[in-house]
Amino acid sequence: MKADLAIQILLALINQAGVLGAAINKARAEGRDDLTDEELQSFRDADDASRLRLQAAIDG
Amino acid sequence: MRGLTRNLRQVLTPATSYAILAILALVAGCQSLGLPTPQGFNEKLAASYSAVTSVRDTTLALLTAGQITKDEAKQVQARADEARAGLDAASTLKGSDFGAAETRLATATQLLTTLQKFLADRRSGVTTGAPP
Repeated sequence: MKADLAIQILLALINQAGVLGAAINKARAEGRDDLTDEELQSFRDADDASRLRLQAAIDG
Repeated sequence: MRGLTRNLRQVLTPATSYAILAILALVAGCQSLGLPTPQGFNEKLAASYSAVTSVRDTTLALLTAGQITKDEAKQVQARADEARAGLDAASTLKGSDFGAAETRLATATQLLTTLQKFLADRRSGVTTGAPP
């Protein structure tokens, strides 16, 4: 596997993990043990955007 | 005690046991990455939504690099859509039927694990096998 591909995939994984970790840490800092439905929606929105990018590449 | 054992046997069907194992694997995965452990149901859902996004992002990178075909990417996209639909159903059910919501979450997590294994194989240069 080419190094640039490996780095691209690694960065995508780190980004996802970082967003999740930040959301959970924010909830803990606010004394909550769960995310709100609004916070959960942002993860759905991120997946919607990712889906569109992949679909564009498949269709392109 | 005997009654408790009998009740546990009724609850812990193979599907339920696998569901519990899948959730434990998800939580263990977060711990190994140094992430705070998801505790609430929404946090577990968020971790799984992130996993769906990672599957799509990885598929896009592999497709762009020519390591998977468009047809394979289309199949992975369809399976990721299935996992996403399961997570959306789990989210809808969590307020009315928590047990069913947990089962949906675990089933989606299991599918995501299979997809991630397929993509990991492709990243490693394994070219045999179709998307799950």
